[in-house]
Amino acid sequence: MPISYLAKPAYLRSHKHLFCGSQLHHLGLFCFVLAWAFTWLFPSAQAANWSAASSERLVKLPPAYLAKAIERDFSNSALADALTDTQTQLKNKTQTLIDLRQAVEQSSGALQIELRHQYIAEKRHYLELLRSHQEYRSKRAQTKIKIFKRLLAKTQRAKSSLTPQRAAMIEKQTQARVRFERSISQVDTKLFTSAMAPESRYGKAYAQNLSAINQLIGAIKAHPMSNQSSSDQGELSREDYIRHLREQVEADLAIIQQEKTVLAYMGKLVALDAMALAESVNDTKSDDQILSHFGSSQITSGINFFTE
Amino acid sequence: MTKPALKYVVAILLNIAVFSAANADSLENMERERAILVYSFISPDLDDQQRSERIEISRNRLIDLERLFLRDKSLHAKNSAHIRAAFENYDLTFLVHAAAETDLLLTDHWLDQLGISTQSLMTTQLGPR
Repeated sequence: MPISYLAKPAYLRSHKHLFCGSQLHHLGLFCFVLAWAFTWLFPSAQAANWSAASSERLVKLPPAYLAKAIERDFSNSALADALTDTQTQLKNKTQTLIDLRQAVEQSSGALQIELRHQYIAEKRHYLELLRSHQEYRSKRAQTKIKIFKRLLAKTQRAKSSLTPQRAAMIEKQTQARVRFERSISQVDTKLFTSAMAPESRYGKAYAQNLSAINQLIGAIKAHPMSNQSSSDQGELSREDYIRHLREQVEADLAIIQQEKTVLAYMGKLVALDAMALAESVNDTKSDDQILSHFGSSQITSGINFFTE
Repeated sequence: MTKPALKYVVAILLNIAVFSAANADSLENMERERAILVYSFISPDLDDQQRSERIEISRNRLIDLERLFLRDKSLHAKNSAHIRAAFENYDLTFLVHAAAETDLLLTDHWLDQLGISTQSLMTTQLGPR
């Protein structure tokens, strides 16, 4: 069997080579299906990875920026590069498939068979790309879930370390501060109106700084990015927000699992297409052609050697 | 207890004492000033003029010290008996602010919080303890 037949791309092969025998076609297509199945069952190890960002850093971030920080960390990883590359390749491959399908529809005879063969091969490449794309997406989702699990564990650890006694004390402190803030303007009016009690240096400096802080807080609230992130978060607590993000990623992962089933069916269809092509190649040759090829007249062609 | 073990215990206790003292500055300053104010309320050695002046000075100092203590965010992390006791009674700990809220003189507010009123003093009887 000519090994070059399998090694050469389909478009470099002449039609003559294609029709050198139906057995060759059977074998070629069988090898093609086998190779595809092999790559399907034993995917090559992917170097593209994303190591999870430090949860110590993430746990300190406000919930609104958490998802963005994780996405930014992902976009700097090798996995993000691989995912982008695969997406581009998929887009290009889709265009190739469209072109090939049109070419198959417009062609006939031997050229059509050749183009159908090429179309099936391209579909196989497309499925491989899809599988890689799914793997990368799955890796991304799993890493995100790991991050969220770690963040939740950290938040829960911090909560459980709060003893009832300490929680009660914090509650008392909060109540005292609320009472203080509620009455501070009233207290200021009473204390500082008399000439006997002028405002202290600390009081003046604190008021100036507080005014600056309030201006900055106002600017932060008015910032479009701040509005966007707060509307995404709604009224959720930090823990609930992380849990919500984790649920979203788990839903994505479930969709990827479902897409894997779709991909498996697509693979099966490509294999069936390949088998159909093999059958159609056989059908194009009549029994006479097969007989003439394998030589019922072989013996008669040699008669000349004996009659002369 | 063996000598080395005793040394360790003493060292740990000293560390704890130093650490708590270093962290409780805002509370200590406030309590010191409040103690001076309370002394000014009850000291028999002061005449009215002196008492009024001293109370005024302490009050002005306490305005800042009470605010410093209430705004100290590091208190959340601490759970010492001193801090717990300080937040148990707002009206007695933050004497100046609470008095301004209730619109009472400092002395009146303090006596009121201790449960001492003109009526209770009038009904007091002298007797053996």
